[in-house]
Amino acid sequence: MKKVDKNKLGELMQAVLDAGKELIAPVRQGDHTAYARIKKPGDAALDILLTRMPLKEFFLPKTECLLKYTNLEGGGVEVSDPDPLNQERVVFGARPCDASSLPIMDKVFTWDYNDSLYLARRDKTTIVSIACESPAASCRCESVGISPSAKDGSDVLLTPIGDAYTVDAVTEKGEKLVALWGSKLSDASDADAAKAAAFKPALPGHQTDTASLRGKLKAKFETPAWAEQTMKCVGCGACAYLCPTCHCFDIVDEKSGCGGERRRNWDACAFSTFTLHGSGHNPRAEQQHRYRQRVMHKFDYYPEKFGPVACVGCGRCLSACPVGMDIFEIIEKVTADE
Amino acid sequence: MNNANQNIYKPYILRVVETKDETPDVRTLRLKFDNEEEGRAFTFKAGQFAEYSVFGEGECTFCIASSPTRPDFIECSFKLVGKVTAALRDCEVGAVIGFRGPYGNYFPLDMMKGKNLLFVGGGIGLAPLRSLFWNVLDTRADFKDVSILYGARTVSDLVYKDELKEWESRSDVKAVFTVDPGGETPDWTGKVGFVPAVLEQMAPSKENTIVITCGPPIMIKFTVQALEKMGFAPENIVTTLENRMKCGLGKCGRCNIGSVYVCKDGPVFTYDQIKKMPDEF
Repeated sequence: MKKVDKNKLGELMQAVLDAGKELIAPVRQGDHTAYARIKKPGDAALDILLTRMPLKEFFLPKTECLLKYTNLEGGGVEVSDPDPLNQERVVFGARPCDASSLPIMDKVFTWDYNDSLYLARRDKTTIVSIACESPAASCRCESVGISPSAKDGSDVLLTPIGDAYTVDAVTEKGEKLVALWGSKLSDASDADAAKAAAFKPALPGHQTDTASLRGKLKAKFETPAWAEQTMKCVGCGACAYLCPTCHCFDIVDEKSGCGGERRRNWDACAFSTFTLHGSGHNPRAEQQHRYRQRVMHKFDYYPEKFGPVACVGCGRCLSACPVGMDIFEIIEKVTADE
Repeated sequence: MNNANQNIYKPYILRVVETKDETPDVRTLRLKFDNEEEGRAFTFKAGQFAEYSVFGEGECTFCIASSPTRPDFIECSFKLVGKVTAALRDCEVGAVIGFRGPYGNYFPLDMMKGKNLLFVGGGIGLAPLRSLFWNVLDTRADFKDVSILYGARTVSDLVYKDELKEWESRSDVKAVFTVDPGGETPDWTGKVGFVPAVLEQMAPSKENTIVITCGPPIMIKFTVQALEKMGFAPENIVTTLENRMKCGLGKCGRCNIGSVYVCKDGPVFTYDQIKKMPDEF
């Protein structure tokens, strides 16, 4: 295992830029925060615990071209793929919860059909995560079996040990990046490794035992508690847009001149038109049905198909909800014995 | 599974070779692959669906309404309800259509061999049944008695009118057609009554019989009730569901009923399977 002084992280980022790779890091954007492409290490704001926007837009952009088409003279159409992503990228300073969302989305985008656009972005990107020293009151990672130093989804994990970080190459991609950093890193001692292994900051917020509660959800599909607990939901979709694992999308065409693009845009199960049939019939007619879908998809349907829950406990949906809905509290309430 | 570099959203290019107005608001398009080689390599099974598109307007989900036993073309039938169907309706012979598919599962044809088949359809719900129906007629010796009960609100709402006449005239098919009360015309020779009620009058035998049904949700509901009353087992009632879809590939996240994805686990289900789904249709 390697280590690096805390004040040398800029050098690691500079090495990424010098190698011709794109660098993505948490940044401040006016009043807001996000992961963004940066041109110099000084623009990174690694002190941000959790950016407002999750990492997912670098893999599933808010809007992206699925194909281009050109109308040909004489009535034909020529269809072409969007420009391929060739640029290698490094995300520096992801949080373990955001990194954990990627293996969850991978399962959807490789389920029987490989989504080449998503997979190219995954393939070209190396994720360097930093374990969280001071989790916030809204952090819920332990509610879903993740921790502030979880490795899943990260290629390299940096764990704080006093004035330094241990540098743990989790994957082959991570090993390559550690090799690129070379002598900028020093060898970690056994004591350093022991400190990193013992790193376990306490989460200040209430944690929900979703592992034992989620088994009760299916039987509670018809409980009136859904209506009671979700009555205040305004269906704005903020929770879905800020969620690192929400991946639902719409496909629309956009014309321009004698051609255009077919594009994929983020969508959300909170919207009343999401499942609206052409006939006017809507299988999820009320907001309570749509919120139930959100909970069931994350904590029952997804795990049934793929194993883990489709939530990383980042807590963004709790912080951003305009009416203060708390998905964990709702899970506790709807699964409670009547 | 597709190669990881292959764009799963890129459609085949098909061309309209024939159009037909089935009713005042339902049209059928007959389509052929622009690239003949792609057309020869393309196969599908009755019950599967596809994403049809007009470039610049968008994609729409319909079943493949033609039979796999007639592989020279693909047909879709759709009702004019929105932007994309309006654009498809404006497609005349020679127009280009994007086509992704085939997607989803299909009717259990092997399980149906050697059995009596009863088709029960309503309105435009005949489209997916028609794919299987022609498949069965084109391999007629594999099946025992073949019957069809089809109804619509009015005489003019009946789709595939020429084919209905052909089925009625065949000696190896028992065909019963009906329109809802008030939907008949003076020269209508079929039944007048709702599909489930006419089904009960027909009193089909449940012995060695598979029922395949599709239509408006309300028709399916009462048809299944009638069938259960007549002793048909839920596993011998087969239907095909429709939900709003975008990708057809299990990714866009909107067609699920509980943990069942209509686009991948369906669209064809037995009533036995449907009974196990949560009530969110």
